[in-house]
Amino acid sequence: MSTAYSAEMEHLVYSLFSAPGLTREAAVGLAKTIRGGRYFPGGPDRYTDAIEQALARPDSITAAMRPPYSEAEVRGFFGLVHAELQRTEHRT
Amino acid sequence: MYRPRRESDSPPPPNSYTGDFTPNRISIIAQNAARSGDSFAEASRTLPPLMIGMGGRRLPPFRLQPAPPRDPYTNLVSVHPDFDGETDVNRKPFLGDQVERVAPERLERIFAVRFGPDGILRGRGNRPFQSSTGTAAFGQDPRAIFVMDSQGRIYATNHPAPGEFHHSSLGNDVPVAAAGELSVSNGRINFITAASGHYRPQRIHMLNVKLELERQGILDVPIYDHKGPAGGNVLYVTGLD
Repeated sequence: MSTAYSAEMEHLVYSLFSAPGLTREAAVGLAKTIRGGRYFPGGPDRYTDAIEQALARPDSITAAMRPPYSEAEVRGFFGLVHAELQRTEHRT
Repeated sequence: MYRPRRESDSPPPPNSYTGDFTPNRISIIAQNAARSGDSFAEASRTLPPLMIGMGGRRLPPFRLQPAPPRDPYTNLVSVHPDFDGETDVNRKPFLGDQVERVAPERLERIFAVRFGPDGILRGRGNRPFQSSTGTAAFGQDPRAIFVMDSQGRIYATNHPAPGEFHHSSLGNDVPVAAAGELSVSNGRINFITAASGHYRPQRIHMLNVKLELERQGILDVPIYDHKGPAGGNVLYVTGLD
């Protein structure tokens, strides 16, 4: 993956190693943490853009770190995270 | 639940008994022990006292030196090869970031956590360790990340940072006996998980941390797989088979 936000995407993919599962609830929790900005540095917009770019490209999201979920599961999950980030965009 | 350590919990001390031991005699005793299935100490008692020359002079007692201490945990795990380039700012993963390695002296000074005789896990300044300021990327209860080395020493931090500070920072390129997350309140461990993207510990590695906690008298601590208590499975509970 060679997007402008590949580092941010790697941070997000890495977090999946401690995910309780790729559920909607987990996606809401991750979006909230991104908005909080303590664990994921650089602000939520960078992560929102990173997910958007990654999902728009055919390149594998999971190839670099191989989290314990399939590419399709991870894409689906980040779709939920992206939607949640957009939904809560003006609430912070 | 905390159970104080008992004398009977400790392994027997290394060979330190005295006797008439010369290299040839040690060899004979070892062969006898292998044949009979007895311990070396038992087999040594079956040989008559060593007599030298016509005068039957006994050799002065020879003290067998204790064996050097061995690592109690030998099933170790290394950082996953996917992260080989992480300390290089120009290599993936974490391109543009550089994941830190902590030198042993700093590791001991800042990140060591140890159980006191009261069963309380204590960190820097001998204060009870807390994971309340740890990470909770998915909205769970906060956790610290930890590694345990081959000697059973645990190192933990509440402040990992993506691309900068991970389990591999604490592991410092040395294989570890276990890695994951700790949930701790006032020095009492609530649970442990096997969540570490860098080490990806298997069940056998989490058994190491179970055994170490039991050795320290720390019981009833559930150890989960990488998903933790919200979605994962219990691998072990300390104190239970």
